[in-house]
Amino acid sequence: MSAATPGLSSTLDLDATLRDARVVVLAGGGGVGKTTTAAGIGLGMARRGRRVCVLTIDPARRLADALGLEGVADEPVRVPLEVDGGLGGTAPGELWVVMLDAKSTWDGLIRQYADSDEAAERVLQNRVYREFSGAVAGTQEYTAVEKLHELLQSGRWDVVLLDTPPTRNALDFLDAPQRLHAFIDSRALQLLLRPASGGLGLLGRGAGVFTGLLKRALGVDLLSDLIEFFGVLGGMSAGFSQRARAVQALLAEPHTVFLLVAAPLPESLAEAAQFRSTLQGRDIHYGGLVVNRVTRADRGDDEAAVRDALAATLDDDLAARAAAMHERVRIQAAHDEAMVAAHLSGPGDERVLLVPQLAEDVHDVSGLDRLGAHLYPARTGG
Amino acid sequence: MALLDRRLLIVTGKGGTGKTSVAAALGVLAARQGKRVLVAEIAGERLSGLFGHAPVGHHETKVEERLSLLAIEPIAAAHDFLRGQVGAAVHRVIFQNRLFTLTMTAAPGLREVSTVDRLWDLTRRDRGRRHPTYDLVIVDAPATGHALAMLRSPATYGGLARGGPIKKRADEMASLLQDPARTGAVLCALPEETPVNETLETAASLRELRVDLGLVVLNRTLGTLLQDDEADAVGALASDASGGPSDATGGVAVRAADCVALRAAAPIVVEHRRARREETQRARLREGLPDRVPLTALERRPAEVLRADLGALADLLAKDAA
Repeated sequence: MSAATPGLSSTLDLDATLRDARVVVLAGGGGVGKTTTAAGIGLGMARRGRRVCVLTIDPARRLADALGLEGVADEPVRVPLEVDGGLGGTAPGELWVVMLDAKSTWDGLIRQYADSDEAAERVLQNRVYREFSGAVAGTQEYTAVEKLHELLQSGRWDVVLLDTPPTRNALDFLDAPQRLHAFIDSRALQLLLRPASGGLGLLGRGAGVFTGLLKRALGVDLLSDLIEFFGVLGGMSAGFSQRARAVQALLAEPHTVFLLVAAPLPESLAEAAQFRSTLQGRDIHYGGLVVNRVTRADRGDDEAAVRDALAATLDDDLAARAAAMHERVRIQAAHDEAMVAAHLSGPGDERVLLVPQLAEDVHDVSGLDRLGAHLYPARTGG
Repeated sequence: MALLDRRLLIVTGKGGTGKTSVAAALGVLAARQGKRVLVAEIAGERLSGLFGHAPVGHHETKVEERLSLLAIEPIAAAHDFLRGQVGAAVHRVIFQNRLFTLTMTAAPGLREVSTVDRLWDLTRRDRGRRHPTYDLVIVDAPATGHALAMLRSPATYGGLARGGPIKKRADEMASLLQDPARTGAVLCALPEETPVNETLETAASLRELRVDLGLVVLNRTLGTLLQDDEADAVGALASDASGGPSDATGGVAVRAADCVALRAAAPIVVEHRRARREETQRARLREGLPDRVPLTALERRPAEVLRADLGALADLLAKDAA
């Protein structure tokens, strides 16, 4: 009765899994703590002497503020690490954080690949582009990998962690470069839009009818903007195509590790499982699954046992209420464990890291260090 | 305007905040009141499973008395939308054109506006003999960012296409969304810092878009049973015990109890602090919302929401929604 009852335990050793990683991609749905996990893992790597950059999409405000990201987009910011949680002394590594701004990454790409400054300006002013770059689903996914590529090329960091945009479908993210490339590179597009042939009058005999229909369906202003947009973008096709291939290759490299992050909730775990199956057919190095905020309690300590144990020191009424609190934690813990276990069925699924519900929210470096104690349990000795 | 007396409810919130369960429970509640209800979800299908029905796909399907389901696939909706604009024969011809297909994926907000167009159609009183009429359409919308893009899309489209039939239709959609007598948003939140921030930001975005916020549902709440000093007393057991045996009288039984107390103390304190943080966030949410917007708190339940739970959920929502 006094011995702890063993439950589901963590088997994913992040230290070993990420030792040679140059890129760590964290994927998962929204609200599962991806950003915090990325920052926690990144801090742990920095504490081990590596130069780390965490690329994040939309961090929680307090964490962003604490890391010095307030109002800074697209520029890496160095996080001061004076105190090494638990070990003392100044950390030899570096932790940088950069917050992605999809729009300015796009603007940068357009400037880079446009034939001329004038062409770039035309795209940047184009209404379709302005909507496209900021709002359309999929462009954020693309810019995330694009930015990742840029950060790695700079050579300033040993490892870059990418906190991906929350997406229901893993393919949205993995296929973003290819999809975008296919989109821009389309021959039909080139034919229709080749400026030399005069914008609208092209495509041979059917063109007039076709564009007339599009015009009717979409509205005339939109059509001319679309045509200009595709026209200029089409000119950048070669540059984009090269980049898309580079990004694709980068994601398939052995030094790129994918981690899934989930919450102990059915839909989150189901999402992670679906992501896993998507990864399986691909040339992707899967690291493991991190489940955040798992409620932990010893499954053998039932309400009566806890009440009796507490009543030895505390008054009976308090012992009873505290035991009731423990009991609901125990039920939740059993449920969390069963749910996680139920979703671990595929190959490689044995690599799971359970991060317990913490007593305090994580919104500064010391919070990340406390989280780190759970992410890297071996190091702190448990 | 009572929430369920409107024509269109958009249920959204951050991922994992219980949108689907809330949309389904609101549907059950409205059907129970005698309304003909359609619950639609977008780019995914989970509701049919919840109602123990085979997948319904892109077809309005009655799954219970007065309750129908529909899974809107945005690409299919975009085809429907364009077919409606140019006619079926023409659509068939141009659909084979690759450029047209590309345009469909690329035109900013086309999928979103087509989805809203579908919703607009579903809320009409007269949809023709072949289509049922609904008193209420509830949308289990995508997570906040996408949902806002969707709500914004008629205005975006209306702005891009300044003339033509699309402009007219976009204006009609915008006026449906902006009419508090016909459309209401329901936001789902969790009592944690980031979800509360996002909920308040979304409430502000809805105000900008002039979409009326009719209800906020705070999911997974569970209060503490302890006072702070009591939690400290429990916590002290853990630190005492970890400091080594504090009591030399201990026989085997006492040490066993000590072990249990030591193990149990930490989870109790974690749970107490979590509940306290939850109270803070709940208060912050209430404070940040306009007074007229009701806030319904739903208790955390250890298990997944099933069809059998929807009735009870509907009861809990009835006070603020009906």
